[in-house]
Amino acid sequence: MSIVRPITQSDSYLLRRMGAGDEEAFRTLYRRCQGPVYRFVLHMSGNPAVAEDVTQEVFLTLIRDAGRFDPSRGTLPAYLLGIGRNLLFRRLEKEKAFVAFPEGAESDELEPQGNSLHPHLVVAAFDPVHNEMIGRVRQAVLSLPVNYREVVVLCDLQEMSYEEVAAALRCALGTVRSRLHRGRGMLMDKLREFRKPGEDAASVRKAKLARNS
Amino acid sequence: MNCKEFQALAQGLARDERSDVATMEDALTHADSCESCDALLEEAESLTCDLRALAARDAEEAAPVRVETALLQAFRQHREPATSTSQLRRWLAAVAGIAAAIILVTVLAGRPKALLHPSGVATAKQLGQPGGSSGASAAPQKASLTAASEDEEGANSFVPLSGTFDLASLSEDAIVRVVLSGEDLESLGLPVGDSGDEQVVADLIIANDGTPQAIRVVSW
Repeated sequence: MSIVRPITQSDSYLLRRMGAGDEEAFRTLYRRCQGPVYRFVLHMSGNPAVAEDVTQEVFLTLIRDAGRFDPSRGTLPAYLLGIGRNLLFRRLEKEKAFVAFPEGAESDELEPQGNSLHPHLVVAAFDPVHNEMIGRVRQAVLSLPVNYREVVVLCDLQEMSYEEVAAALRCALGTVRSRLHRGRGMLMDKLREFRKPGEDAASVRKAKLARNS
Repeated sequence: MNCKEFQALAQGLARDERSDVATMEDALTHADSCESCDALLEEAESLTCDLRALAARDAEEAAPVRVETALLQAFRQHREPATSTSQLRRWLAAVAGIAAAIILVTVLAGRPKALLHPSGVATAKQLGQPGGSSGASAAPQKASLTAASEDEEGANSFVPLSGTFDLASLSEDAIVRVVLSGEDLESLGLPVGDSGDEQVVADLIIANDGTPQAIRVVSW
């Protein structure tokens, strides 16, 4: 019996072909990478229109200057996420289009350091058909200071490794690890506030079941 | 393991991060014996479940098709200038190549055959009498470029001197402009009129073996 494996062209190969004007190579790369970029911006901004615009701008940047990608500094998806992150921050700085989370009582020590947009953001309404629990988690993620939010989004929602996240954010591995720890702690605090009385028990039971399984 | 150490590990444990077995066993043992740490771990695990549910819900979220369409359009527009430039370069290279070929052909066509085949150049004396014993007084001259051009143009005006002469073999032979005396003409079997003392300028087609194949009188 023979095992037939699909042949997957590497990102680097497709990027070279794209540089040579191969439209199909660009299409393949786009379809391969657009999802993570779009979802990252969506989870960071909570706004599908922003996610769409930023995703488009990320790939326009790639079209204009594909040669800037340096494989020795990380993977192509990480590179694109890095572009998306910068574009998003620039956009948020510029537009300030987001609405502050009503209960946004971030302590000063949680304010993002160095880069960035305003500390607590949340966006307008998301898809109302999402169930309550998911809506709450989404809202809690969106309320995190951006430095913690981006790490939670990449590590826990995009399931990227610490190494990949460090490459995308251009920071040390230890920074990723500590921000994730801190960000998750903040999320737990927020969700605890959101949780209705009596809901804890169900949640704990669910967690116990998951742990035992 | 104390509570502080456990708290540092709790999020990793809840995310199913790989850790050494001994540390994990220590942490779980501590959680079993510490109510607050056990609650912390359960809460962290609950958060993991919630985040995974959100990730699963959004797993299919993607940019709308119109983004791909717009990007492909942008890609084509970005590619076009580069393509046009390379096409222009190719076109210019082709034109330059053709021009060079035309110049080369022109130069080669303009060169006297005698220069192309120096071994074929012979004196009128040799032409008239291959043995070299004739007293012909004609002085051989290499055909000028002009004369050679005329040769090309007026190949049909040559009069064959041997029965085997073939115009098709013209390129293989040398054309030599010579000054022939009436005596030389006579030795070639050509009729000489009253003015036998006059000299005649003529072009001769000389075979590789030095024998004259055809003659064309240029001037009397």
